[in-house]
Amino acid sequence: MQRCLDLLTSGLTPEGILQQLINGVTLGSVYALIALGYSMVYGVLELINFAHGDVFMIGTFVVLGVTGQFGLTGTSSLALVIPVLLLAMIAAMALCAVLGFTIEKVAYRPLRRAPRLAPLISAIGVSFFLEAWIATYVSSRDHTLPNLLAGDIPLYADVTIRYVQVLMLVSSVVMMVGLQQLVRRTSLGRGMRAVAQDREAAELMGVNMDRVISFTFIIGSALAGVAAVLWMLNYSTNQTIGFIAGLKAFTAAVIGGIGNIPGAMLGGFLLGLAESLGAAYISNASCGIFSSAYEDVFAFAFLILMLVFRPSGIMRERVSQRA
Amino acid sequence: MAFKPSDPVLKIGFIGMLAGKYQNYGIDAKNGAQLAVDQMNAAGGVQNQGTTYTFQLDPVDDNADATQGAQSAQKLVDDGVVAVIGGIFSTATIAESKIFNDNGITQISPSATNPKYTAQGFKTAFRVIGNDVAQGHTDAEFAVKTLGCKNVAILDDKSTYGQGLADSVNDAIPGAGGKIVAREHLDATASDFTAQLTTIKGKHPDVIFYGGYSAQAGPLTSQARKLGIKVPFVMGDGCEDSDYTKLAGTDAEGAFASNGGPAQNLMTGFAEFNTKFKAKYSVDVFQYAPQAFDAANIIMNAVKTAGATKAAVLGAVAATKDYKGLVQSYTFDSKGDITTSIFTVYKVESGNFKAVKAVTIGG
Repeated sequence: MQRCLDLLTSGLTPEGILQQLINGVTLGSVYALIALGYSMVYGVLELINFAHGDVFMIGTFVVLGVTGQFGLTGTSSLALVIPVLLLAMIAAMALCAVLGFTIEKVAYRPLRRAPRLAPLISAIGVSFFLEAWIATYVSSRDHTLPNLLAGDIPLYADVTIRYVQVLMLVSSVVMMVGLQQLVRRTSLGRGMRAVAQDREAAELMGVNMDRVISFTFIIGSALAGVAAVLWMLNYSTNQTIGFIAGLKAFTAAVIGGIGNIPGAMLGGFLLGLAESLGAAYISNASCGIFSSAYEDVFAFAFLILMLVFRPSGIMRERVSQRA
Repeated sequence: MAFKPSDPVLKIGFIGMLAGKYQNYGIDAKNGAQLAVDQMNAAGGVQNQGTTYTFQLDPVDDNADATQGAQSAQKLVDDGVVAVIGGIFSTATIAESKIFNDNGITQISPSATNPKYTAQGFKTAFRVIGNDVAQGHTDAEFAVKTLGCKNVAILDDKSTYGQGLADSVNDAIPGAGGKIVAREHLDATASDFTAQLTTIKGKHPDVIFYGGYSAQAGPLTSQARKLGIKVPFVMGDGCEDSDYTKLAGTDAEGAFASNGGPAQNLMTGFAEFNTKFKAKYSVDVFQYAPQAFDAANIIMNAVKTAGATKAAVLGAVAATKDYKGLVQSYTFDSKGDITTSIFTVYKVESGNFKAVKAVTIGG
């Protein structure tokens, strides 16, 4: 028992906890951006777009392509890095948007009146197609970007926040606030909310449903393009990354309440925190019984608990807000 | 006019990942085995009791995965191969070894280093590379004694290979005079390792050992440097390749990785081998092609001494003693491990792994 207490206290320092919180929130901000795409599509179509993670994956390869064109290295000056990253972001957003739009037209629209299982299976097919296409024609290897935007800001003791982490947080929050405004204040957003509430009634009231659905895919996919840039600044990619990142983002969307935009954001942050704190403190909290190997077990146990005790997610009850 | 049947062509199986994340290893080893087969056929094959045998390589993909490995192994059995080269990764190789053992087919892995592969009591399982107990010992001694790092943090990817090697290092550290300050795991599909690395950073190790493959070791090293962890990385044979240096970029500088066999520049005949290899496949040798080349020759040599049945090949391979291959001289012990294992520790300098220390264990 004493050993347990020692273990519990030895690993827990305020610096360590603060650093893990920062790590978790930044990881969660990327999950949140991808989760928005799942959530928006579910909101209007009640379809889980399993190809969304792969749209994100294609985005990471676009980012690789653009930065590769300009030969960025870890020592490139900021005057080069920032414009190139902006260009990469625009390219990834544009390509992902076109891809999302095309996938909806080709794979989901013809099945809109079909049983609900049909578009779901079609989504899985698109996902496999994109993975196999990248593996065959582009690369089946792992890729990283050089260490761009190196450096950090000291916060407290030896706790730091890196420039990249600041960028991840700021850009994801800006994107989410922008999306929220779009849904609340524009006529397109009104259309999305109307289709989400009652598709047929919306159509009868003159909402152009095809246009609303197309825009939902375009916006969700463009956000995945932004997530792709942020992801590549920190992590690596290969053709299968869309599955794992998509699974995590989907989990985030469900935790937050699928179909709900602030819910997707909250779910992303919560999942990021659960993963970081889980990996860091499982061992201490369980007297060394569990190791950090159980990171994902805990992240998904969180999902199961959520589904059992609050299947509609944290924020689902505000139906009027879903879109 | 007497009827003369055409000379028999014997099939030798090859099993490994040929498409996917780690295809480089599989394709490289397959090419090494293919080169041995082509050279032998060009020289007229082998003769045993008046029959001339030529060979054909029968490659199958195991996706480096136990389930697919078992299915592909069964396919080789159905194809009627006399012996098999592979698998490449331990998890798949161990799954495959049961099928080959049940069918009495000799299996020689050029690269699977997990101790369990030859510890299952299968008469058919061999490997032409030192196992992870020996490699873990080499890495532990290197980190503690050569680098003088007393406090060691150990990370692995939970794969059969990665965790197995990390466990071997874990067991060998106290004997070498070191102390384990952290033992962490990451998920083989994860991209974010900052949680584990932040924990490790808080324990102030002098060195980090990672058991796993380069696809994750590269990003892992970069993330450690971004977190301000400056201590050296020591890794195993899963990371000693150009993928690691490419993925980690400048962060790779100063990292160490061990690998089975002597360094390529210390291998007699390697330059000539690489020239032929490149002429045929337009790429340089990546990793285990020399070991796969030797494995193929050991099998074909066994046909020459004992004949073409599965049992004859098995007996002759098991009796292999001081067989002079490209990489080293091979003698199998009763388990199917080689009696003398050579390891080399490499260090990343200016973007490439350079040999810094050779270690011979056993013999």
